[in-house]
Amino acid sequence: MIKVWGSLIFLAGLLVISILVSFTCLDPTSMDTAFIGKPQPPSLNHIFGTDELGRDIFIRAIFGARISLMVGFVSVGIALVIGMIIGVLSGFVGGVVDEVIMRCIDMLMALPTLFLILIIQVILEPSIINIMVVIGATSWMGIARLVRAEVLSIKERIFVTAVRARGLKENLILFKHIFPHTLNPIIVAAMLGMGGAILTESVLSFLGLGVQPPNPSWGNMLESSLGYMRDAPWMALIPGILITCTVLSLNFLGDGLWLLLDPKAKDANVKRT
Amino acid sequence: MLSVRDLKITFDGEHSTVEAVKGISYDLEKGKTLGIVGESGSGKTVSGMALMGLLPPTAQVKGQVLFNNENILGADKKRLQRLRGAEIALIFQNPLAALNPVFSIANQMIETICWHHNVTKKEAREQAVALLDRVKITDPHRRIDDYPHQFSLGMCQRIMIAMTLSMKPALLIADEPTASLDVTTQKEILELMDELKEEYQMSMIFISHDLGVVLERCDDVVVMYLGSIVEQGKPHDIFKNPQDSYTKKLIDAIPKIG
Repeated sequence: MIKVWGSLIFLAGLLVISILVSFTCLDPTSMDTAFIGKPQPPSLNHIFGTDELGRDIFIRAIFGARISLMVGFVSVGIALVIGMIIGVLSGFVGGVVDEVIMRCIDMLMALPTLFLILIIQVILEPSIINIMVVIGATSWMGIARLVRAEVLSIKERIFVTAVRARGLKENLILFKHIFPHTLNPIIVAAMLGMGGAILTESVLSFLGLGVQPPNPSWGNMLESSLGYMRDAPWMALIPGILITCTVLSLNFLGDGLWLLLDPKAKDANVKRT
Repeated sequence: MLSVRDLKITFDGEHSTVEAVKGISYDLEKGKTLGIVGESGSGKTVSGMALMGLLPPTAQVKGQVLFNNENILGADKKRLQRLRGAEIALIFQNPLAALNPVFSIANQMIETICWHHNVTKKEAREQAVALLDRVKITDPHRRIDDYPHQFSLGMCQRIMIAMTLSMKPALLIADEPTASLDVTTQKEILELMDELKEEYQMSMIFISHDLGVVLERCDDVVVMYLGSIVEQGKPHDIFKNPQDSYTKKLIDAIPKIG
């Protein structure tokens, strides 16, 4: 549980700081002209040091967190909506509809997503909205499969027959009695997906196709550190550690939530009376 | 009130079709109990589910089921929905599996009561508590908010019975209601069901593989083997003078003392 609480505190802290920072007059692009070309190591003035243009890495990292979290939430949100609708449709209706949808998903999954995103980003203007939509639109297949599989297995359970035998409507059965059962794996998948989306955004920004400088993102901070790896390792370490911790925390939190939400997992900790 | 004529059920597989029920006929009068006995796979459960139209789309059902002089086989979706629960109700073999594990008993009972009767949630809750009390769940006010896995199997079956009673069906199909319970609980549940059947004036189809239990409480008995009826009659006659070899085996299987 320490892992989960640690992750929760870390992510909540990141979230709170990145929201609060919007209300301050801090500017991630303001430069300390004395240090241009001479990145400064961490000091009292700049607790994470400065980068090659004399900008404060702490402030840039916080603004980067804001972008990363936003990309994580929004793109996973898009993926969840598409994935749930298609998965429920496929699993509950079954038959030909299911077959067609699943073969399309197989086809989409065979595409190398990262390169697809790269091509789309080259064609479209690289903007944050585009990144979020593109990541969301290319990562719903896993969720759709998961939801379909859950719906397929739940709809054969005896309690679904029992509810049907009590004369309830089919759509009530689907939305009240089948759908909630798919939420546990979805929440875990959403957390993992959020980590994946944050990673993808970092990769895109690192390659120069994501968040455009001078706006900070963890990815383009890493990219600008390339030339200073030996002289100023903190420039790479700070965003690197943040990306790692965020993705790890999301994974731990996904596991923790699963334990919390499964009624049987919960009862395993409580003595039966 | 119920008369089944030449009921045939086949399942279409990918390579072959399986004949699960090969044309069975029986009648049930109002307020009586019909026992269907047979081994696993003899088609007794499937024939019960077919009455309510609960079989998967791979099943093909032929024949005629007259319920209060209305053919309910092949009735449309709407008619089936109104029929299920309100007129014909089903009790399952595994009561724990028949309750949705993620909702409390209160939630599921209130849902059912509100669906079938025009009452508010508060009234439905009062009804539910009263029914749980009737099926002898101790402390129903508190226990109604518990989840299915917090109850023993016997108590889950009591809850299922209470839920079924809330719909006031005319016909109750009990599909091996005590098969997953231990013997003392089995006796209690069976006694409770007999009492309630009188109280609510229900007819009952009692499906079981235990001939002893069936002979004790049924007005008519049907013995099924491999999808056909091999013997049909009054329990006394079947017990004293079994015709079929399978029935003889079933009678031999009833434990005797001494």
